[in-house]
Amino acid sequence: MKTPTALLRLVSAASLAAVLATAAALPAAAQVDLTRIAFVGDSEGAGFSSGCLTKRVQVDSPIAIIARTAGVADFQQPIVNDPGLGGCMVLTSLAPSFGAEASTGTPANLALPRPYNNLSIPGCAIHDMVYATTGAETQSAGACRSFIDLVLRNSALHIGSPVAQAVALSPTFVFLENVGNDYLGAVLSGTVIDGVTVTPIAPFTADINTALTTLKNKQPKGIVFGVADVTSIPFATTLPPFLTSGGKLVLDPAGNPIPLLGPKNCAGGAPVCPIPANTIVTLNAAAYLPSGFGIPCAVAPLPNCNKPLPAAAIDATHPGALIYAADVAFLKARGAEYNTAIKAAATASGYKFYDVNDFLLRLKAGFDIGGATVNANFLTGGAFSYDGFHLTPIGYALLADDVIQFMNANFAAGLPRVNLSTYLFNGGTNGGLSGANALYVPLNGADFERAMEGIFTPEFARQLASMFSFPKAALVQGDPGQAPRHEPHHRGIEQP
Amino acid sequence: MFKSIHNRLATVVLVGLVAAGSAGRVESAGFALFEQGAKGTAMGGAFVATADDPSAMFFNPAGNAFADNKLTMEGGGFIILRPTAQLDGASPFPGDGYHAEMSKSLYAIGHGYGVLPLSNDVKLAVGFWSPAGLGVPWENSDAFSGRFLSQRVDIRQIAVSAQLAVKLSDWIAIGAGPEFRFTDVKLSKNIGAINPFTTRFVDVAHVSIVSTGTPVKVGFNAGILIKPCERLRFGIAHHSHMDVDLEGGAEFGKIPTGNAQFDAAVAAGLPVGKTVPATTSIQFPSVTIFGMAYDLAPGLTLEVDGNYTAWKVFDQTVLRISGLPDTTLVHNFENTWSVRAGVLYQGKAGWVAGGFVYDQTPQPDTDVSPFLPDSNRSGGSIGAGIRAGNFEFQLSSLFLWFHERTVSTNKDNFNGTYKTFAVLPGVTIKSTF
Repeated sequence: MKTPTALLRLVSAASLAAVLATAAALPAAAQVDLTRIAFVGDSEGAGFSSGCLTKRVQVDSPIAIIARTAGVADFQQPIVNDPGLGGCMVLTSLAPSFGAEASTGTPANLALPRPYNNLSIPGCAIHDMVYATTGAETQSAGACRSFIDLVLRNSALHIGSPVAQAVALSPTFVFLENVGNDYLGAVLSGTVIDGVTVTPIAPFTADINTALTTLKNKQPKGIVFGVADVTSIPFATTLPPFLTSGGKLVLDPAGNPIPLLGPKNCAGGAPVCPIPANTIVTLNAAAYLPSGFGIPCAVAPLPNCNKPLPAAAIDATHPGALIYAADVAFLKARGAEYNTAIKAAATASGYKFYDVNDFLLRLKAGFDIGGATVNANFLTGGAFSYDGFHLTPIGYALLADDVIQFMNANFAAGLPRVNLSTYLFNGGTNGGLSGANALYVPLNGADFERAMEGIFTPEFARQLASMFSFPKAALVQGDPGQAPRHEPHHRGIEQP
Repeated sequence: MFKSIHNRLATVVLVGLVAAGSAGRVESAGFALFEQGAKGTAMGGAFVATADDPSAMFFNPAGNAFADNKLTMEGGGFIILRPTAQLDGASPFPGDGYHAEMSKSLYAIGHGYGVLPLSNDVKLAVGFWSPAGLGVPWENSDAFSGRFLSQRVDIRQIAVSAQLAVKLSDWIAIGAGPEFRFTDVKLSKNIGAINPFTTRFVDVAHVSIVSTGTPVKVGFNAGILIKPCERLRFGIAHHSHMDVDLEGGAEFGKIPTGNAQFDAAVAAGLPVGKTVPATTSIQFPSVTIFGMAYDLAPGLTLEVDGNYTAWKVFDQTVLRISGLPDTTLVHNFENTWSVRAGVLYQGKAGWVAGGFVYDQTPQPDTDVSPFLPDSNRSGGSIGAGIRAGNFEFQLSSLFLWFHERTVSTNKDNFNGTYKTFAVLPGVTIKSTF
């Protein structure tokens, strides 16, 4: 009897050793299973770009790039055929001036009988991701209300919110991405009001906890993104708080730059005064400056000179253009609070915290890709689209590659890196923002001259200087006596 | 007599300079060159303790002290062939599946030496060689994914030297002299930018930087050769390091993108169509050669050498173009060793030799790029010399395998696997009068 027992033990031991050896020999990629991805996110996750959701960019949403790079066979998105929905911005001159494509895109994947893998909905904040099931239920107005039914399709699926649909997928890996809609609206509208344009920290914390608890109960492996510093995106950093002309600061006789005019903190209760140098002038100002708002009449006697740039939205179509230092500080502090809450929820759920702010800081400094520099500069940087806060396919590819490296570092995922060549040289896998053919309207002489003046804003000059290693001083130093720049028209807004 | 010697020396120098004028690709690690004579090369470059040839001017200046008491000259050159010189890209850039090759350019390097006995124990040697060179031209350069880093780089350097070699006794000799180095450099690449209309990275300009004039830098070389017993020899030689300052011009050429607005913006920001002054400085390292030769049998010699190259001096290249901020290319090279071994059999009719070399690259992964994709090398060499009257015809060839090098941490995020194989056939003609 001893012999069979010993033999059995030997066979058992050998079998166990073989199993252990096999487990140890599994490729690193086996540490992460991306067979059924669930990505709950916002517009950045959706591949929204230049004010629209359209197929030619959606195919390069960050999670689509990750799935493609990882070789995921079945990855589904709520594709909208070109020209998309939202009115894709088109650059028509370097002034810059923009046009818009028709918002006539049709859904291409509406009949999918299961939830999409990419459940990102432009405009939705964390509360909507957890609770909203239809447009009528969203707390966030605007894009979230417009796009949520396109993504969730609850009239057919009857599953529930983005988080509920993610759970219904029985995901093998989860991403939760909400990089700023809880306070981005404050920057876009130029109106900073806690509880109105900014989500208070208590409900935010409750919602992020609920989201991660729900998701981790279904799939314990996942990544949660932090929020971005919405005051450091090109929408908020491109325009200087000073008057410029031909790319140079306009200087007063004493050699000082001339501040633009705003309505706040003016001495003696005056309705208008120079804005402090630490004020953010958003891209919304481009709609006001051409007619003189924000410009002293002594410098340029334009129709609306000596009137302040708005520091808060005037109405739905006339947003604020200034964010004063106190509001900037508040937004930065709130962003830090959001991230603290997300980190705590991540720790509790076992999800890994991906610091998107760190990525954006590195993007601001610039990624060198084989001698090509991609950075966060508006128009010339390549990473941010024409709306100034969503990424381009190049930017999404860089983000996807960074997330892949994060996954490799934190999950031993062994995923291949993203091949950036297509994005860099072709704009994306489907032509990128401009599609197969870029729209370009040749300008007449006067318009061209104006465009040339416009393009050389100090920031653009700095970008160009950086791009071509040119001396910065030569391009941005003051040049007293020049006529002020006539700011170009910005899409959608004429005068308040 | 001296007029005749002068003419012969001048002829040798002239022939060699023509060859050296097209000096090119690196065949010793980094961009140093070690192929300075057929005999030494046939022994894998292990020649510092043998040094019984005028090419001792490079391998060990002391060697000429033991030369016959006759005027001896030699000159020749090597052709550098690269059947394989390619890159297989890796993601993120230039991407998996990307493949590029270097142009199949032919490069030649030359050498010429003359040794004049001043007395039984003192010899004057005059000569030139190519101590450094680099030629990295990429095929189809306007489509090459690395074109924003480098499309082509050429560094050419010729050293001219006069040395005195003194035999202090029958067992020890020393030699030394100044070394004048003439250097020129050519760099070319494209400049790119994001086209705001398409949000694609496009070529907007081409820049060529060419050094002008013949900048000369003076260093020195020295050597000692010791024969402690009949069959054993030790040699040490040293070439000093030099920082060569170069001046030239940077010529910018416009590359139209098809978008008039964007082209105009680029033209307003770059000196297209103009050549602006440019300067740079290149650090060439010191090389110290240690070696031992042992006569295994009459006429049969085994030599083993170690070369120490102080590459750390090549830490960065600062490119100064007038009107532009300085561009700093960080290299951070490391000091390196190479090991060389050779066997030489010499008879009355001539000699045959074979050798081996292992050459360590000084280049860290972060610096491996289209500008200079270096790697460790292993090589084998063969050669022979046939005597005919006052002449000796020497042939040799070095077969050099660059170890496949996969880079994933290049500082410009240009990664991939580089593969190179090179063959260097060479000829040297030696004459004794």
